[in-house]
Amino acid sequence: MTEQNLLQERIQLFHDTAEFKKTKRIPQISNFFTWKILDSEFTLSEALFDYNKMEKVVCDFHERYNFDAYTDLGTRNPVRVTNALGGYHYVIDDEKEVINIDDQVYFEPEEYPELIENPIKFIWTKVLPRKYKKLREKDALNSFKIATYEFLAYSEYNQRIIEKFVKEYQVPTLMNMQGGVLLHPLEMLFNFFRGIKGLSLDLRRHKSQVLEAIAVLEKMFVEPALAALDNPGSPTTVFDAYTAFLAHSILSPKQFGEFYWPTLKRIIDKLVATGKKMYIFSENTMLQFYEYFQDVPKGHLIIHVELDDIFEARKKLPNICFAGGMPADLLGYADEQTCIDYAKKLIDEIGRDGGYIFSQNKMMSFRNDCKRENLLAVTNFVHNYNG
Amino acid sequence: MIDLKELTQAISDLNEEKAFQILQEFVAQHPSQEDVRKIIAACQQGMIFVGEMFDSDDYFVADLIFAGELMSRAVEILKPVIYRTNTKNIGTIVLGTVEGDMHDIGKNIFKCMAEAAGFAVHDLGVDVEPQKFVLKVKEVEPQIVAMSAVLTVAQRAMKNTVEALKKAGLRDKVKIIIGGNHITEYSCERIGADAFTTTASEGVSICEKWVLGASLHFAAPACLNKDGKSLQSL
Repeated sequence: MTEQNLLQERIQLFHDTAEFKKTKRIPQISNFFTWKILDSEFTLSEALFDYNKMEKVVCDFHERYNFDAYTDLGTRNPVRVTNALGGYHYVIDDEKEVINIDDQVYFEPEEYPELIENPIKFIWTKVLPRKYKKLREKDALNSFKIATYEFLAYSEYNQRIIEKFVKEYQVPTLMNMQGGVLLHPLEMLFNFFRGIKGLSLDLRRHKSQVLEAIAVLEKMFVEPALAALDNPGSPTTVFDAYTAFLAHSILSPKQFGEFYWPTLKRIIDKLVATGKKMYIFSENTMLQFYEYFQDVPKGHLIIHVELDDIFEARKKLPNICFAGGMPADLLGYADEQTCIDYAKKLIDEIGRDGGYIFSQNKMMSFRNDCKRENLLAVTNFVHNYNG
Repeated sequence: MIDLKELTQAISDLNEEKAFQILQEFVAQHPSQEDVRKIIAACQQGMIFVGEMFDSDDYFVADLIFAGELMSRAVEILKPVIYRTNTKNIGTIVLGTVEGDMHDIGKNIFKCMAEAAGFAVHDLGVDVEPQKFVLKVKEVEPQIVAMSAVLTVAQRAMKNTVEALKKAGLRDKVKIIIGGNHITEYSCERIGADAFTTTASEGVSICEKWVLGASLHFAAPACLNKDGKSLQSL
């Protein structure tokens, strides 16, 4: 098999799996984030502030474990860019090997009308100066210039590492970063603007304004990404679109129907109409909303579950391709055979007839999330086991 | 006199407008300490109903956060009249998010519900070093130590805290409960806690069972769920 065939084989393997075709092996996605730095010779700070070191980290990681695709190639935490603007939101502690991110609360509920009136103006004149303190200082223009250089350096690394993985390792990118990211407006409010507590209160106290904000943010950010789905998919990318669920975790099923589902339904309808696939990373649990997903046609959604019971998910939603399932609890603390036994159980019970991508059940970030020998044993087993 | 059932209902319905209106009218009446005790009990009962509705999947996380906020504001309204009131105290809990973890939403919900259930809660905040737990336990002699963590890395700090309590000779004097999204029986056993939970309301139920149960066994930890049953190993 030529190298070029390996790239195509991997993409086909993912597509066949998502379409519930029986495949000769189960594809594997790495859901490893900062753990791979802890598995290297570098500290968190060393790798996060030096793109050459980060490149070595992710390349060594691939050469060691040989996943078919990656949720992160060292680009998730653009520390240098945000720090250049004075937004020290990533709190890195090399001694404790922890990276924390502050809750993001940048406007008060009374300001919803301003956001709704002109979101771009509001974000540039209110949200960003509050988020990045250097934008409020006298030398703001210079800070902005430095941050622009940092952003270009970050983009250059991003492009370089993707090209290396595609050309040298024949590993496709998991998602299309050019227009393929479809973040739900409620996620924007939750993750970037109002935080978990603020949004929880807004859902009851300012319901109509939250709904209006969702509508304007959808028009501004989601609709262009939906339009991009009319274009042909990237030949080196596995899935056409990507999104993450996090804000859903505070909602009741009824609230999900009011605040979340309408936009998501429009996204799914577009995926179905254009024959595209979307990968969803679902933090926390999502099965409380399973009824909404029951009628989604097969072959369009891949949901990476975190705290849901993946076996139950398979039963409740036989139309959805699931990813995940391998517990960090086992990878971090059990022995190799226990991990392999669990991996076998996952494949035997939910992967035999397609519709399952092997991966870890959380974003692997900390030292005790995994042991190297367990990961080697499991990735090797899954690569060679065909059920 | 205020209709206590109406207040309990307003709180359990998360109807803050109604609840605040009742409380403000109450404060304006210059109530007796006995009446203040009754109104606090009515608020607490409302919060207990909120917890039950969370257990029955009628309320979700945003509702619990809202309930916590509602209760905090209710206490603010009542402050001018509750300073001399002794409310029921069924036990004492030392609470904190452990070292290395800054998450506090789950911890705060637990605190609010535990206080509503009648516990005196000493909240140490977030990123709490083991030694701070030890010092507070020495100071207030609680029946329960409750540790919270969202990050899996912080489970190591939970274990360190248990070890620090052991070293200080305090481990056998308290029950330890740990909580967080990724907490499992497996991690509970590893950490050496007595019980674990992934929801605040279940955590409070476990604590109530401990202090209100017929006998407390401060023996070797066996990780329990809220029914007091040992769970199956992974």
